[in-house]
Amino acid sequence: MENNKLQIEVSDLDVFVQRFHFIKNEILKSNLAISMQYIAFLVKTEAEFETTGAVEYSIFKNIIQYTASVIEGVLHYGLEIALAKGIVEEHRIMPKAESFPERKLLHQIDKLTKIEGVKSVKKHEKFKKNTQFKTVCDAYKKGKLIDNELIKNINDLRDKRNKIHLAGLTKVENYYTKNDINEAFEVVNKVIKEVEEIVLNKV
Amino acid sequence: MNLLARFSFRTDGFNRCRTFFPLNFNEKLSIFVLMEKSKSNNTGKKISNRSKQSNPNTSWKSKDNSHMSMIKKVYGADYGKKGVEMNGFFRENGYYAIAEFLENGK
Repeated sequence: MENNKLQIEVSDLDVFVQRFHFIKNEILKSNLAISMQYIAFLVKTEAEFETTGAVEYSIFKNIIQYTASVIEGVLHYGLEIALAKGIVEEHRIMPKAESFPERKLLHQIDKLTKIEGVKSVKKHEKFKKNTQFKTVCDAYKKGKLIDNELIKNINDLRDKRNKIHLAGLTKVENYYTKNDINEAFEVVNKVIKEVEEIVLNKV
Repeated sequence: MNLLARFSFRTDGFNRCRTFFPLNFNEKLSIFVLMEKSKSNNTGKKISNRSKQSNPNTSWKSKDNSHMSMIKKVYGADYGKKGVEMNGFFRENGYYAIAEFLENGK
């Protein structure tokens, strides 16, 4: 039976993979390309179909969220490489966290109240696969891996991405436009350039 | 500011002078904690069994490292079509930065 469903035509994944040629982690590269292809799909849907009101806005919001995820993935990879190459040191760029590995009862005041002695150790967080986007941004700033203006733009985009948490919103959203998409992609282009430099050239 | 206190007291027949750290909770209650030097340089027990830092180029690598084969395995096929050029489309519709993104990859 013939399939009469409409289809939005977008480029194959190889086209998007090309832009991430400097990433050697194939799974990350594939996931970035999948996200980019989906962004292309959303853009084409917005442009070719009559989308207005909340639906149009939601498409823009979805693009912003995926764009921020692409940036996060690229930045995370860049930091991993910067650490592996010794361009930055983990203990200098990761936040310090206080832990209490030992505690002892010193005095029991009553059933509910007691005084304890604790051993407090300050250590830096380890850089991991699930290190938060904000921590990665702060690490780039501390390590002077990219300039502060770009960090600010990334953080702005991260804030916009965080509007995915609906319970935290204080008003009905209607504030994403096509211009936001271009601004977000200007950030993507700059981030990719910087990370490309870290991966391919910096020693 | 808490000042360290040094007390003399008798243990096993000798006068010993030890250093205590006072914890003042209120006017009536102070606890003096005996300070002992650590015998090793260890800063503490390992807190958790966190995984070792991953190697950047191998940490997420599957056995078959071709991205297309991985995608086909998961999704069946690529939704996109070969030969579909999108740069012009993005530019015509005002998405200049996405067009630049694709052009920079060539």
